[in-house]
Amino acid sequence: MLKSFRVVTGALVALVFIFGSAAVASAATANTTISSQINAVISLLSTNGTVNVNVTPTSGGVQTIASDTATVSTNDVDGYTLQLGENTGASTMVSGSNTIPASAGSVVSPVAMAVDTWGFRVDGLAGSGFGAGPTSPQSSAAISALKFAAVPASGSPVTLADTSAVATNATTTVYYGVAADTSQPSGTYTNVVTYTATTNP
Amino acid sequence: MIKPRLIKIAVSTGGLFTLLAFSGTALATAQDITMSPTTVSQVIQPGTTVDGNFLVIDQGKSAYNFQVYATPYHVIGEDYTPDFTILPNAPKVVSWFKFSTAGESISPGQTKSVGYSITMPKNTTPGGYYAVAFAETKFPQSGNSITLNERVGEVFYIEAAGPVVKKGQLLTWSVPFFQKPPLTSTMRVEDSGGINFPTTINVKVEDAFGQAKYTLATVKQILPQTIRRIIVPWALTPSLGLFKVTGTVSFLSTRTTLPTRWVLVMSPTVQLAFGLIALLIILIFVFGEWRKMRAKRQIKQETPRHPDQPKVP
Amino acid sequence: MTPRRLTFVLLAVALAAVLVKSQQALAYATGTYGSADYGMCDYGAACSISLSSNGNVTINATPGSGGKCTIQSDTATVLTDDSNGYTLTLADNTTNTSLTNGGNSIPATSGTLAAPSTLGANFWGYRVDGLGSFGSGPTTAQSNISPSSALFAGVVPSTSSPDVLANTTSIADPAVTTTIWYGVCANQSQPSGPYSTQVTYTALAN
Repeated sequence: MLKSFRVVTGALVALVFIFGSAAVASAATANTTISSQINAVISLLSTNGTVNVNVTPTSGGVQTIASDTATVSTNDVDGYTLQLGENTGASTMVSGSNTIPASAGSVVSPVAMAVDTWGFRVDGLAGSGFGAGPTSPQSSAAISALKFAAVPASGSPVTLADTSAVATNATTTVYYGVAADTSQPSGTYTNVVTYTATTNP
Repeated sequence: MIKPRLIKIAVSTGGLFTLLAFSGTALATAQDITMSPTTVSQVIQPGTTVDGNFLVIDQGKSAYNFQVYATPYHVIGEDYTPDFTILPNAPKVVSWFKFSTAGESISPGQTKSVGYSITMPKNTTPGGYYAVAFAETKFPQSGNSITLNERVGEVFYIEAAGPVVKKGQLLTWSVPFFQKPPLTSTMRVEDSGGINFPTTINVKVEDAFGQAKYTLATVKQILPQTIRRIIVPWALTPSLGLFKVTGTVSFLSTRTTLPTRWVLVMSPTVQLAFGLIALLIILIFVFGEWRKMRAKRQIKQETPRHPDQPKVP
Repeated sequence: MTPRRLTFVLLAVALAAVLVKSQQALAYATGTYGSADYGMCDYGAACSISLSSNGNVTINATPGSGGKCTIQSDTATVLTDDSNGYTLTLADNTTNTSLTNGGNSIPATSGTLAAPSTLGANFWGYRVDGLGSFGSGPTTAQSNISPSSALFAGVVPSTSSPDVLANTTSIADPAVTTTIWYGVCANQSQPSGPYSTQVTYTALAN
């Protein structure tokens, strides 16, 4: 009985082998991983390389306000910080031996601009005393009640923006003002400030 | 009183200024400076040098010169305000850096690769050291103007190889119950060790029915010997609702489940509306009570006194 | 029926089956009778096929305003002695055809094999020179260039009919290669990080 069983089984296996061997693999697959590292970038653009704040003074004093817009883009998911500070130690505008000193105001406690001073402001800057504005450019007009501050020293810049996500063309408008009367010697006065943009940790 | 000569100069100068006034674009053109990557982490054996490079890209429409240099990097306060000044008694990390160029000119659409090498002194104590490599535009100064330089930086997280204490803790997890939009959760994480570590934060906001409304998954670096305040706002918070906030914080091989917090959100407008409704209800109630009292008094007056009832003096 | 008789019947059936199948092979109307090697699978009866690819394609990009694109290639190599040739197809490994990085993704371009399109910022896709409407190329490897006029298609999801990259009618021995170009474009709104997906090539003997 057992022998017969073995014979039958062997025959069946042979059948399967013969028919089954016709079903040889005729397909193959291969996987490829497509990977892409999108590098982090940070861009900083200011509308103008320089901001002209030309003044035609009067005896009572007039003020010129001009603006610059700093635009930051970054795809770093931690966002960025934008700061403004003096480029060097000097906070005065200089023309030879003549100077226009910086405003007596600070970012936290800005003041309305006194004659023969210069400064900056940002409408609605968080943590500042600038107020909401709105500020408008003006040329040799009456000194406005808007408050200005001295541009901070390079070692302690003011934070203009601090985000925590990707930013595309995020803008910050900075207004620079100069107030002068006729006691201010004429000349070409300059100062250099620096915007700094770095991504956050 | 200004001398006539000066007035003349002033007038002529003023005239010149008038011509130039607000003609920023006539005198200067926008500078667009891009740097990539924005951060890099390096583990360096003291006494060895590692090399790398970063890209400076002019995506704008004007050419300019730029300069390259390194500064220290640390943060101030729990909000991590960046600072690039030298800390007293801190190692002079800046001196480890050398760049393939101190500065170059770049044209619109151009990409410049700047090489750097970091040589770590042999006796550097194991731990974290931080610096920034800046690319800064150098715009020529012009008269009667404020010259705006721009700089973008790549932050270097440098680890001096060797045994270093890695230690940190979650200090606080704060989610006030009563808030106006946006619903905000705040946590503070401390790094009391000698090297920075990443903190993985997962926060989920669900409504009262258990539906997820907002999820956040983010990684924040915590620098050594600092506490970082991490604020998680839900920007699209509705003006009214009851929400449940849950989450986890993971760092240094530990994972902490944050205690569940419930938050009742009411915008100022909704608060005002509820206040008015409450006031209205109170007024209606008071008015109702007053009318009842008035009605009672009237009834008393109209009801005749029983002859046996004593007179009320 | 006794077990012995049953055994004989089964063996007879098996022998008959072998004869029938061999007759089929001899009668195979490919026109190659007498011109190929006996003993191989030339007549499509019992063929093998092998397929290999590079395994990894890296298309790193440094984003720029307007988009910056990187294009790199993969090579699918097919070897088969099936005289009817083979069909090579491409599909994504899953139903999600985006390059993903956690919660961020770079979707596949909306172009298709039938109607490919240029690659826009924050999209990825593939092309094969000379296939369908892709155009003849030639495509070359490039890094961080402005978007070009080259046409790309999105890799189809695993649940869709895969795109046919090659369909041949003859033996592929020596092995035949198909170059597939993968491209990604990114602008500065695309969060940084490592993105990936997996695609599957399938080579099927015809």
